[in-house]
Amino acid sequence: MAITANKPVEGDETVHHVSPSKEKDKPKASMQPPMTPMIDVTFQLLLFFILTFEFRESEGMIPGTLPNKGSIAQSVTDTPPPDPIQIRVIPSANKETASYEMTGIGVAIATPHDLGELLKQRREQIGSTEVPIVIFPSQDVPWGFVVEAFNQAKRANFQKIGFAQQIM
Amino acid sequence: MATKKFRSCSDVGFNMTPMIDCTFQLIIFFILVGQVANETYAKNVKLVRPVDSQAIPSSVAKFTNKVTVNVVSAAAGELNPDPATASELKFYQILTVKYHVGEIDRMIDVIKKLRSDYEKQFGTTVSPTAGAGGKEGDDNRMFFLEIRADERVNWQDVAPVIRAGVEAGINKMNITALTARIGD
Repeated sequence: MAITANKPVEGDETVHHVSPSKEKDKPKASMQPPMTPMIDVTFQLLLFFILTFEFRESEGMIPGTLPNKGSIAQSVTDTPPPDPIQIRVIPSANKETASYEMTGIGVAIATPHDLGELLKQRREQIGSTEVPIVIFPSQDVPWGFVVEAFNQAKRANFQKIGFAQQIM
Repeated sequence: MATKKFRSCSDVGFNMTPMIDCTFQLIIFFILVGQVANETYAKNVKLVRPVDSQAIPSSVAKFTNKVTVNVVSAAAGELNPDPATASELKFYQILTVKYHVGEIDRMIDVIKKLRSDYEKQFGTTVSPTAGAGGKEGDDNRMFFLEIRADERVNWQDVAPVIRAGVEAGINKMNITALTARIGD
């Protein structure tokens, strides 16, 4: 019965020769840190983020200016200030929609988009962005429709946009 | 003769690598997308998204030199509010303090104080180009009023905030709105 040279025999501590080609084929012992604690912490973090995450829509700012306190008088210049374009914001009975009235336009404007287009046309006719826009909201009009008017005036590139109270 | 090999129980295991990969991807997503909550912004304020919104995203225009006035609707947080209730004002909020309708004078005092504190720290807050006689100032350090109002609230409840800003001597105002969606 043949006995293979490399077969370990109990109690035999003889070091046998291993050829270099066989040594190469041996799987190398790998050093691996314990992964379990890291995975535990990772899952804790993931759980925290999932539970505390709240989807929010992207907010932004529409820039504008406020008048100086108590300064009604404008600075005296050679050319008189241009007449402002007035926009009135009027809510519907159920306040779900609003219409807009603009200086020089005889009919009520139904949508903010139409208002924006008319303002663009007006700006092109005038050829200046310095004409003041004055928004006159009704007392009971929802703020959203007022912002729509302000936004459309910005979209039409007007630089001076202000609010005014309607005198009842 | 072929012998059947059996694996011991300890050899059977899941391949964890793809799961750990996905977990890390998710964590990176949440870290990048997550924002720290700003306590000066009142919760449940329904902001307007105007048609072709001109709102500059907050991530682009980062201002700290401001006072934010939240105008909160009486229907804030309700799923199916009555439209009549929604148009009513619940409270104003500056920083974390709430003010009620009759407290406009207190609000003016607070805005004035915040403005003067800023002025002491950073110098003048009034741009020569701002105000009724001029267009927007270019000075980004100017102190401004941020109006963060619920879209359902009536104009008559927002107008006092604008008046308070004027009374406090602030020349710049920003209206908070939702930014345009991609593809709008």
